[in-house]
Order: sequence, then structure tokens, then C-alpha cells
Amino acid sequence: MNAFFKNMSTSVNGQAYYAESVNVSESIQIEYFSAMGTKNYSAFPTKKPEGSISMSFYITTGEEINAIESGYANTGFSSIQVGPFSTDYALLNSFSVSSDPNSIIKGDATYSYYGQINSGQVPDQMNDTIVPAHGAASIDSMEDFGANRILDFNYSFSQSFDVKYSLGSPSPSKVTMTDATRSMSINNLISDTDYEKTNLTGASGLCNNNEGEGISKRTGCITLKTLCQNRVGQLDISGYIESRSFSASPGGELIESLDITEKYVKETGCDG
Amino acid sequence: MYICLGMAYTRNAYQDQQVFINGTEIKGVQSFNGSWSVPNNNMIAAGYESVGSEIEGELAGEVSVSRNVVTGEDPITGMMNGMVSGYLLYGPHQTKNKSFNFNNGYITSYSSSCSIGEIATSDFSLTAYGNIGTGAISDTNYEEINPVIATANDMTLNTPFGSTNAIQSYSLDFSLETRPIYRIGDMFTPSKYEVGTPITVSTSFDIVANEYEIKNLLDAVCSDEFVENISFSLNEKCSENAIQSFTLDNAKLISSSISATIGDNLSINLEFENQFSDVTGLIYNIFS
Repeated sequence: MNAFFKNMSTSVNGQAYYAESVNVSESIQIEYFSAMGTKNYSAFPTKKPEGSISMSFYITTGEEINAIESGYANTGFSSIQVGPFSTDYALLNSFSVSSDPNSIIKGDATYSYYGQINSGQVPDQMNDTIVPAHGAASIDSMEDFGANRILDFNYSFSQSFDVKYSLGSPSPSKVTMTDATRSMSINNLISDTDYEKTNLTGASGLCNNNEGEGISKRTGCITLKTLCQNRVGQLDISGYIESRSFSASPGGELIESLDITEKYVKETGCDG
Repeated sequence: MYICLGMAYTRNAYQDQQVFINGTEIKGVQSFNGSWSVPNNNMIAAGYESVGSEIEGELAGEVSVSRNVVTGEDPITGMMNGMVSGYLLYGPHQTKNKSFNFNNGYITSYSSSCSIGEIATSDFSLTAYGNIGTGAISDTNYEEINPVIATANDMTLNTPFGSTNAIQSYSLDFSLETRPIYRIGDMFTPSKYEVGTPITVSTSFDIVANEYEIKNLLDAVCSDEFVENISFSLNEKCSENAIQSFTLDNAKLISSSISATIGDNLSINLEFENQFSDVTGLIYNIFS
């Protein structure tokens, strides 16, 4: 096999990504044993090979975000292709996006896959020019959390699964989701902050009130745009402020940092 | 007989150029340097290699101006605490129809120096955020002045070492760590600015030593011996009328060096520092 960076085109469920870096690694659990009276040892695998795929990519279209978000709280497997390697048994572990005001916006995604990765033909190099989302053009709507304009953000989603095999089955036979959390960390100048709204107990103390100022779920989003003002996608959060901190450097204004956490429950559309 | 070989190009000589900042023409300018650069990130992607480039970083320009001290008024000292805008005006044959403009600028450094046989200088630089390059020209006036030049032999120095040792030169400089604050969606134009503190003013003197003895380094510990009140003024030629004055109360001696070679006078360099918590305090104390 002759493969280079230029051959490692990456896709998830058919959606292509412009990955700045991509890593594939896998391992297998092996039980080593020997018996009395022998001068050798043997080994056998105790589990199917498992691995992980991580990629850091430029965000250029909403479809790229949607394809990853389709894995949120989803026990169905995703198909991933990385150059000549492929798997049909991948589950999303984490997805994060972060940016500051003068930077290109990039995403990071990590998948776990089950069973040894397949290998096939080495893809040819492709040619394209991209216009990625950029912090200088994106728009934040975090007023519900007391932040009128933010300095930077870190959006992240993580989830964990319990993957079961059954006797005689080469692939996982049962997948159950154990936890899913979506979070957003933001920094904002104290002069851009509605301070009372960022109180951990809310403006009305621990009790909820009608205005949503107590311990109540609040929502916000960041709209990702390119420098040419084209809309790329949106990152949503609907949760609670779990922590806040304040910092200042010499000569500088106080900066408030907020950590917002949402226990992610998939909207299935079924009430019954 | 003259032969015309093609289109004649003219040039922008120094008399075609003027520097304006905040609507005021800066006098005594010896050189002006303006620049900007685009911080392009050349993007690569697996499966593609190059996928183009995109701007990543600050869009900022730099301007530096060197001046001789030729007037008793320095408008720059009053511009250190806020935003400045201006331009280098040029155009062949004093047409003054072209400019290199800068906006949202902040003074980032100031320095003044003079040695024996020189005219005192007063240089500064600034960083401009947002638009820098072509722009509107609002003022092209030229006001003739009679230069009042500050030369080395027309200085008044009040130092603990100057009366018995020959001061050969002084150098005073400071930098203002202007930090632009960008917010998401600012499109490279900062919303606010802040200045890092403390602001350190460094002043150094070269002296031909007569009686001066370099202080003992360990005396810097728990002692006021290294603290001096220093002031000096640049005077109008053949006069004691001050053009520009510098006051450095409680200046701390931070370094001393001695140099002796065959054929040269023994020379000593002394460097002092003053710290300030804000630009206003610095201007009030140093330039008053």
C-alpha cells in the first residue's frame, strides 16, 4: 500500500470532511497463557479489535455539523472512511468546536469503532478550495445566559455507550447509551455581561420564577458564518450555568467565564 | 539636442510629504514608515493537500515616525491616552493628492535621545487596527515654522552625577502594551483596547567618568541608595528656554557598566527605570 496525506480523504456516513488531521488507532485484548509442563506460551484474543478515529476539520457547511449531530444519542452505527480504511461500526464519542474572534473555526470529532478496520483501495488526491466558518464573522446569541457579546467559546458534546457482544456474533449485538452531555464554555467582558443573570442561584435565588431567572433551563446559540457572511451552521445549547469564574490581567478588564451544561436527551418526536 | 525616450516618471521628494495625526501636522519628521500585512493561513486537508488560504489573526498595521525636536510643542504626548488616526500625505510636485492612512491607531512606543554633536530626536510608533492604507484626506495645510532646534550643547541636566562627570548622551524610551479586545463577530475591528501595566520608562546616560564610582550591587538590597531624582530639558539654541522637559522622580538605577580601552576616556553607562500604573500618570510625571 502506498498512501500519503493527500490520499486520506475522510467521510462520515458519506459526508466529506476537510480534515486538517486524522488519526486511526486500534488494539486488541490478548490473553496470554501457558500450562505446567510446557516450555512455550499461547495467546488468544478475549475481545474483538476496537479502535478510535479522531479528526480535526475545517467547518465549511452545515451538513458537516449535521452528519456528526446525527450521532448524538444515537445507538446506530456510523460508517467512516479514512483514505483506504473504513468501518461500518463507529459510534460518536465526542464533538467539539472552539473559536476566538480572529480565528478560523474548526471542529474536532472522535469516534470509537468495533471490529478491525477494513482496508481497500487508496483514493486519488482531490482538489478543492474551501471557505471555512470564521470567528470574525460569526454571531453569538447568549443573552439568556447574561452574555451580550462573547470573547470566545468552546462548544462540546460527549457521550458514552455500553457495547455488548453476543456469543457467535462477529459484530456488536447490543448498544445502549449510558450518558450524553452537551456543554458550552464562554468568556465575556464584565461590561458586556448582565451580571445578575449569571448568578449560579439565579436572580431570584434557588427557586424558579416565571421570568426564568432562578435555576432554570436557558437557551443560546452561536451562528457560524464565513468571512463572506455566508451562514454555515448553528451550535445550540439549552442548559444550566454550572460554574463561573472571574479573571483579570494587569491593565485589563475583568473577564467572566461561564460553563453551561446540558444533559442531552434526543428529541425523537414521539410523545406516546 | 534632447531625445525623449518615453514617459517621464516623477518622484515624491521630502518636500512633497507631510504627516498628519488627529488633524495636526507633525513637525520635524525625518522618516515615516508604514506597513500592513495579511496573516493568511494556508489550509491543508487530508485527501486534498492545499485547500486555499484564509485570514487568521489580527488585521493590523504599523507606523513608525522619526523626528528631530524642532518645536516647543509635541502633540504626540497628548495623544498617548487614546485612539489616533492620520496619514502620510504625498504626491509629486506637492499635489498632496495621495495618502497612506491609518485609523484606530494607538501609540505603542516613544523614545527621545541626544548625543554630543546631534540634534535631539523624538520618535514614536503606533499600531493601527482596521483600515490602513488609502483613505480620505481631510487636511493638506502647510504651516511654515521657524525651527527651534534642541542640540546637545543646549541641555540642562539635573542628575546626581552630571556636575562632576561629562554626560555624553541620554536616551529615554517606553513602550505601551496596547491590547485590542476582539469579540466574536467583530470582523477584525476591536471593540475595546486596554494597556498592559506597569508601564516602564527606561532612561540611560553615557558619561565620561571623572569622579563617578559605580555603586555596589548588593547595596540595592533594602536601600534607597539606588533611587534618584533626575530631570533634564532640551533648550532652545543658545538659550535656557526649554523646548521639552523630562522629569524622572524616584528613578531606580537598574544597571551600570564601565568601559575602558587604550586611547579612550573611561566611560560609564547608567540605566534607570520608572514604573507607572497608567498612561495618564506617565504623561503627567514625565512630560510635565
